[in-house]
Amino acid sequence: MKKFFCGCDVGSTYTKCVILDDEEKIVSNATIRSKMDPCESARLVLLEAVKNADGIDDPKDFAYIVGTGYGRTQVELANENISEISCHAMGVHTVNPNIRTIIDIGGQDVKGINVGEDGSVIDFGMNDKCAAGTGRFFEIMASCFEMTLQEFSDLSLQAKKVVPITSQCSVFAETEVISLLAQKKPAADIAAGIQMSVAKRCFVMIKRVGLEEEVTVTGGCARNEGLILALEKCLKVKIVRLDVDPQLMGALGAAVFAYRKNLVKCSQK
Amino acid sequence: MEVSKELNINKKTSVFRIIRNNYVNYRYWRKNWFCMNMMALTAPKTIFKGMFKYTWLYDLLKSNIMVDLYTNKRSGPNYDKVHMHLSFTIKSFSDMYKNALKNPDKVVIIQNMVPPQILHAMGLTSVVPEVAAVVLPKIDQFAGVRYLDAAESKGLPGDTCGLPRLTAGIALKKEVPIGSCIISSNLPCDGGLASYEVIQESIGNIPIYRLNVPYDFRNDESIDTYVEDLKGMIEFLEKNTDGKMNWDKLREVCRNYNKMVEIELERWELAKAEVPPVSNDALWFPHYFAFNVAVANKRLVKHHSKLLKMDKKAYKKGKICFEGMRYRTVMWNPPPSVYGHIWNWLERCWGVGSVMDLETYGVMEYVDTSTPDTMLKGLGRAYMWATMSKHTRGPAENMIGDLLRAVEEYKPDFVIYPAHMGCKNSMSLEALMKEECKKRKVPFCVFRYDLVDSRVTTRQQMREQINKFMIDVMKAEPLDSSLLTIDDTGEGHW
Repeated sequence: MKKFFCGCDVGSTYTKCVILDDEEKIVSNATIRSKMDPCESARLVLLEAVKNADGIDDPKDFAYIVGTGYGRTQVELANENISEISCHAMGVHTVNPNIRTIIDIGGQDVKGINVGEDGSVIDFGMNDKCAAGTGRFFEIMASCFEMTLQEFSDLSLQAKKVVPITSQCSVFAETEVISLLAQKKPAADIAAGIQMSVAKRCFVMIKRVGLEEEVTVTGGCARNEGLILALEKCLKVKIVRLDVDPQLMGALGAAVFAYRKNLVKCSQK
Repeated sequence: MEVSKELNINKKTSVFRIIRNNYVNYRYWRKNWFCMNMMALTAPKTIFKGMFKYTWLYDLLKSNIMVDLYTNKRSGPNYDKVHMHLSFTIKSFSDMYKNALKNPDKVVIIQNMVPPQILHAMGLTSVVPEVAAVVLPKIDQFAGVRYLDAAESKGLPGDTCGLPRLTAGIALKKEVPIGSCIISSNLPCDGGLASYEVIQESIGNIPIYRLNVPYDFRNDESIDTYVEDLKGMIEFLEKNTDGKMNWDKLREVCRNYNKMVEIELERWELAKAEVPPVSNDALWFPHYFAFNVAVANKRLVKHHSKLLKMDKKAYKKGKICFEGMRYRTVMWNPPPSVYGHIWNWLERCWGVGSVMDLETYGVMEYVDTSTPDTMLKGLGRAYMWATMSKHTRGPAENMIGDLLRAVEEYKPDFVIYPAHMGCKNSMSLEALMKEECKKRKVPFCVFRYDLVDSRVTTRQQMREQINKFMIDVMKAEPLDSSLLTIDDTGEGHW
C-alpha cells in the first residue's frame, strides 16, 4: 500500500499544504486564505489537498504529518511541528540544491535565510515588527490603485522611471502614494517606486544575514515580478526562479521532513 | 539494579537540593524584608511621606518578587550567588535612598557614569536617577510605563533609548529626590545628555555641571582634559554644597576600587575555564553594580571577595555554574531590563550560560593612588574607557574589536546579541559584528527588544527569536519544552 506524507504550513495570511508519495514526489497541493482559527485553516487545507490527490481519501491516513508556520502547533493531526525557517530552507533545497540565500516575503514578515549544502539553516534574520515590506504591505498598496496584486505587479513593469517612495511605514506610505497619485504622477512610476522601497528594505536585512549566491525569493510575493526585478537591481544578483510555486516552499519542506522522519521511525521499528 | 540505585541517589540528591534551595530562598527573602523594613523604621515619617511623593518607592518594596523571578527553580553555584548579590543590592539601594531622604541637603544628583567616588570623598550622597529606571522594569515590567508616557507627552521622541526617557519621566513627575545640584556628562550616549536638560528643568533649575568627555578618548591629552574637567566639578561642588574634598578619603576609596579590579579580573579568568564556575547574572550583575552604581567601600569588597571565594570553591570541585549547561555564549549588548531574569530562562530552557558580556567586559586598570592628580587620572580613565561609554561613541572598532577579543578569549559556541531598538549606535554595527563572527564560524543570535518597554517587544517575542535561533541554527532541543512559550504578560508569572 502506498504511503503519503504531508507538510502543512499555517501562515498568517495563507495556509498551504503539500502531499508527497513514497517516492518523494509531489502528488497534490492546496492553498487557502487563513481563517481566524489556525486549527480550522489546517483542517480545511488538508481536506482540500486530499481531495486533489489520488490514493488517499482521509487526512487521518497520512503516514506522517509535519506542521509549520506561525500556527504550526495548531495542526491537530500533525505528528510534530518544525519551524518555518527550517522548512523553507529544506523546501528550496529540494527544488534547487544550489540555492544559498532565501528571501522569504510572507504575509506579515520578511526573512533572510542562509542555506547550507545539505539544506540546513546556517543563519537567518527577520523583520517581524513592521508590516512595511511584507505581503500585507503590497495588499494595501494595490488597494490604493484599486488593483489586484497581479495587476499591480504588471503595472510596475511598465514604469519609465522610478518615483522614490521615502516612507518606510505601511500607513505613511499609503498617504504618500495617495498624494503622489493626486499630483498626477504616472501610476506605473509610483508602483515601481513602491517595489523599489520594499527591495531596499530587503537589501538591508539580507546584508545583515550575508548575501551568498545563488539567491531565490519565496512566499506569495515571489510571484510579484516587479519586486523581483527591483531586488535584482538592488542586490545586483540574478534571482533564481523556482520550478515549483515559491509560496509552497514551507509546506514542501515540511512534507520532506515528514518523509524523512517516517523513514527514521520505520528504521527504529 | 545499578541503574535503579543511581536513580534513587539522584532522587535523594534532588530532594535534598529542593529542601536546601527552599531554605536559601527563605533566608534571603527574610533578609530582604528586614533591610526594607529597617529603611522604613530608621526614618518612618520621611519614608511614609516619600511613599506618596516617590511612587516608585512602592515598587521597590516588591523587590522580593524580582528575586523570585531571578532565582525560581535555578540550580548550581549561580543560584546561591544570584540570591546573595540581589540581597546585597537591595540592602545597598535601601541605604542609598534612606540617606538621601534623611539628609536631602547632602544629596547631589549625578548621571550614570559620573564617578561617584569623588562625591563620596567629599562627604556627599550621590543619587543616580538612572538606577530607578534600570531597577523598576526588572521588578515589574510595566512599572516604568507611566514615566515613559510622561516623557513622551513632553515631546521626548519615542524611538530613542528608553533609559534616559524613563529617567526624564521620573523627573517630570517630580519623583527624583531634590538635591542641591546636578552633575551630568556626555557619557554614555547623546540620549543621556539630552535627557538632563529636561531633568534640570523639571527639578527646578538647580545648578548643573556638565562633564564634557572628549570624543576621542584614547590619547593622553584627552585624559588630561578630563582630569581638568573633574577638578572643575570638585570646585563646583565645593561652591554649591557644604562638601569638602578629602583626598585621604578618596585614596581609601581608590584602594578599595583596586581590590575590586583584582577580584573582577580573577572572576573573568575563572569564567574562561572549560567548566565555568560562574556565568550569566552571577557574573553580570555584581560587575554592573560595583562598577556602574556603587562606591567601592569595605562592605562591597567583602561581598565580592565572598563571590570570588564561591567561584573558586566551585572551580576546585569541578562544579559547573548551573546544572545542564550545554552552550557557552557571549552576550554582546545590555540584557533587557524588562526581562532582567532572562538568564534564568536561558539556563533552564536551553542550558545557555553567558561567560562574558558587553557590560562586564571593559578596561580594568588599577588606579595609581600616589597623588590627587594620579587618582583623578585613574578614575577618569576608568570612566572614559568604561563599557558603554566607549562602545556607544567613537569608531566601530571599539565595539567590534572588544567583541572579537571576547570571542577569542572566552570561546563561545555562539554570540547572543540583544538588539536594543532604541540604540541606533549599536544597531548600526549589527551587520558588521555578524559578518566578523561568521568569518570565525561563530553563529550570531539576534533578538530585538526595547530596554525598558515590554509593550514594544514582549518577553515572549524575545524568547521566540531565541527559540528560532536555537532550533534552526544550533539544532538544539530544549531542556524543558514547557518553557518555550510562557504567558508572563501579567506580573508575578513567568
